[in-house]
Amino acid sequence: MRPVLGFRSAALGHSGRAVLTGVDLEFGAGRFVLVEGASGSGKTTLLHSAIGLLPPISGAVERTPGVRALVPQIDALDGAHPASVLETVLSGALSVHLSGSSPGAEVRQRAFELLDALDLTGFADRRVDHLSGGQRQRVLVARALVRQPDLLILDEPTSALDERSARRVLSLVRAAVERGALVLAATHRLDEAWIEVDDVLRIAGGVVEVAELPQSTGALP
Amino acid sequence: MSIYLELFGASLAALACLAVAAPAFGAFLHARGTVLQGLALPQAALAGIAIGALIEGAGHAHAGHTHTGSGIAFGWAAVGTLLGLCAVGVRWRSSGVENGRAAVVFCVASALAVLLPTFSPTGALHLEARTRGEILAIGGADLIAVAAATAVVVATLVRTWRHVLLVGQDPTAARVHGLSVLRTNLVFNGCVAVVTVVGTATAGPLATFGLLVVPAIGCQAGAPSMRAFLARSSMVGLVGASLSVALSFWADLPLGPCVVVGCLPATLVARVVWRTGS
Repeated sequence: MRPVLGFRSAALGHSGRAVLTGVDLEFGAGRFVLVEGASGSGKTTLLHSAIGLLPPISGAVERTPGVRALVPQIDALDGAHPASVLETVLSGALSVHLSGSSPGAEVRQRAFELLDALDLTGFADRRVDHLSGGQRQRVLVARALVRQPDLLILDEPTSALDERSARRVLSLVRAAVERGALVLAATHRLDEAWIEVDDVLRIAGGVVEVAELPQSTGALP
Repeated sequence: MSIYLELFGASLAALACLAVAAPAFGAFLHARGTVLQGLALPQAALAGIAIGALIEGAGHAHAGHTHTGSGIAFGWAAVGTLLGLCAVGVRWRSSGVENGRAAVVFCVASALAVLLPTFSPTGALHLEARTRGEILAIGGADLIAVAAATAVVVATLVRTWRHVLLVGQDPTAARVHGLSVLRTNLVFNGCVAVVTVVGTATAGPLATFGLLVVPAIGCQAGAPSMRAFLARSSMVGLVGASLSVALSFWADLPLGPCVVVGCLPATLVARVVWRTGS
């Protein structure tokens, strides 16, 4: 299987200061990888390095070309823009060229399907800054999925969601995995919604290690 | 009435162009938290014209274009705006530092716009006319320049507003998406600079402030979407500009301050009407 993402003896961090060292991992397409660790352990550093936002301090991070998308932490979205839910979701499907065309009918259709699947039917014309935290988080998930990414990174995607909404989100993510996407998702709160992951990485003390699946260890409540 | 249109048609058309374009860019300046640019850049453009008047020995005044947006005025306004933009920076969102820089640019540019004309009496007349917004002598060539520049920046905004929105809302996601945040900001700020140059060189800094900064504030709270925010800001700008022309004409007042005064009631009404309707 051709790897989509590979860390080669990488030291990862910010401004030359390593947060994670000796990272040596490889992932193929169609995997759902959970990154678990306490707050501040380096989960976001690993995710941002995986998607190319942070260059490695040493070693290498290799990715195959493809569409990438990020579901950031919920406070990443600036609330001063009076953007509607539909505008925000469609911004995830923009051409990377400023001169490119705007999202077409097929993309709009997909956006509405995602909103339906995320229990946001009827919210398309509402302003994002008028939504609750959980609703905003689901909008961010729809924005990432509308482009059908090959590499999807989710940073605490269920932090503001109840269990039912979390299940909806993660079942959509699972569907993306079935289509062949590699998904890395971070959480500091392991619950039953995460039962469908394929691999688990645990971060502690600046080291990333492959852990057992939560269902096999009885870690889930 | 036709005699008035014949005399002032070009001026009114130029103001209408500015009234449509400037508020839409002002809407994004508000949303991005960079609205102080809307004050600093027109003042920097005016300082550029003051520098030009000093260097050129107010040559364009000798040529009989004291009140118009001549090519020289456009050029020097562009120099001032570019310097102001470099000093302020083109980040996606203003931090305290960038707002501080914009305030300093405004202070320095205001001082230069007052000081430099004292060394050139004709330059002083030239600057005063622009500050007052005496646009009624705009000629056909000026109108063509204003209309062409406005068409380009409006077309650019129509093409790129979603990109500007994504970069403003979530620059990290924009980078992951593959979008160049720097290039997007450069395009957006370049358009703001063009609006500033055209506005300041024709209608003066007060009218440019008024249209960049005032209309959008009345539309932000009640707008259901970014697209509506942009469209409503332009509509309010156009209504405000119409009110200001009427006020200037009937009360024989300079147009520049009238634009600011005319935009205020239009903005207040928009805020009440659209806030209630939202």
